[in-house]
Amino acid sequence: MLDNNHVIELLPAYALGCLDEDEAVQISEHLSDCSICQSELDAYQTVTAQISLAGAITEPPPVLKQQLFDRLQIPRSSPSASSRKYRWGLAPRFLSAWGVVSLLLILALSAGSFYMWQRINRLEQTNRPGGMYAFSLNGTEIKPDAAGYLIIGEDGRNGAVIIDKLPPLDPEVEEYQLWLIRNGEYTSGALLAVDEMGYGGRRVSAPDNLLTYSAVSMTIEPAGGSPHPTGEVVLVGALTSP
Amino acid sequence: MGDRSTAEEITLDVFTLLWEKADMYQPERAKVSTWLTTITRNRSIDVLRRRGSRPEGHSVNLFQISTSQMPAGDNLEESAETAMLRERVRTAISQLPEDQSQALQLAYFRGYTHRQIAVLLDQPLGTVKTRIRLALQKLRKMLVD
Repeated sequence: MLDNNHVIELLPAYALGCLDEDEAVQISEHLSDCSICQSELDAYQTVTAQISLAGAITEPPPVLKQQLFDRLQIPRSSPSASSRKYRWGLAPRFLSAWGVVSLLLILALSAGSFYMWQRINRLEQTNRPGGMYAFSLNGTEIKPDAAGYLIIGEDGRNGAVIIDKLPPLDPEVEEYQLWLIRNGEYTSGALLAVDEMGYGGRRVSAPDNLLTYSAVSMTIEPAGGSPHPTGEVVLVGALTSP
Repeated sequence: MGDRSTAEEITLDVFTLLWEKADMYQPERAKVSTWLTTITRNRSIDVLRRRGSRPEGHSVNLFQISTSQMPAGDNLEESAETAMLRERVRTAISQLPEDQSQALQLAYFRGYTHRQIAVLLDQPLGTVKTRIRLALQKLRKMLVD
């Protein structure tokens, strides 16, 4: 019988899937009765999921999506070679679930389209006052109601960032840092603070033309800034093509 | 996996499984991305182990992975956030001691068990277990806690 301490020591390896089978079985049995260890395992599985981000990104070919749709929609009365993994006996539950998911998918796509349409409208209304470009910055899970704008001059050489609804930081300890992102690389664009109302602004500078970057983000960094992002992301924004 | 067709087949299997087992997802335990990634990796390891061989000609050196790829997609804000997280993960892994990073890579990307890694590296089993445990504990501290 495994005690909690022993299981907790093995949870990282269990999350990685590199235990021997007998050890894995023992831990699996223990987890069914232990919410503490289950919670620990959840945290390690979050880590192992993130390790995959370190790998190279590969886009699946479009035909794969169609193959998936074909596989899921094969009628039960006419099995084909590609239906070898389709299990009989699930049709009633499958079809009712399919109906619900289809409805949810339609709603989600409609909401997504509506959101994109609103966003495009917003950009068209705001992106060229006096020849300048304005790109909106949106809050993340950390601070969903935070907002901002990155204003870039017509020639891309000068810019300014304005942020709102972010909590003031202790300037001795932390600052907000703006990152300009291009091809997965991050360049610091500004360090700034906010006032007691959560509002702040700063000029933005970069070694290259600001319009050559594809996205921006803002993180909380140690006072004085960091060479690379290390803290929580509070704002993100896409720099769509002018 | 070492070959594209196997990777694509696994992708189809995983999404089929998600479709059939969607009611098993527990949002209070993990994000969808975590659940999806865990299932995918487990399936990949199953295939690797059943195959009984590893793609020996294909090695993953985390320190040489190109940083020139931004994830494609319509939502560039989400892409920016993902790119930020990717950078944090790569930075965290690069800060691991070499022996821990090596053991982690063999376990994660090649699907080797403790014992197999111990044989490959000619190290005691206990040493390998400790390295993997410490590696993941450190990553958890840097990325999650």
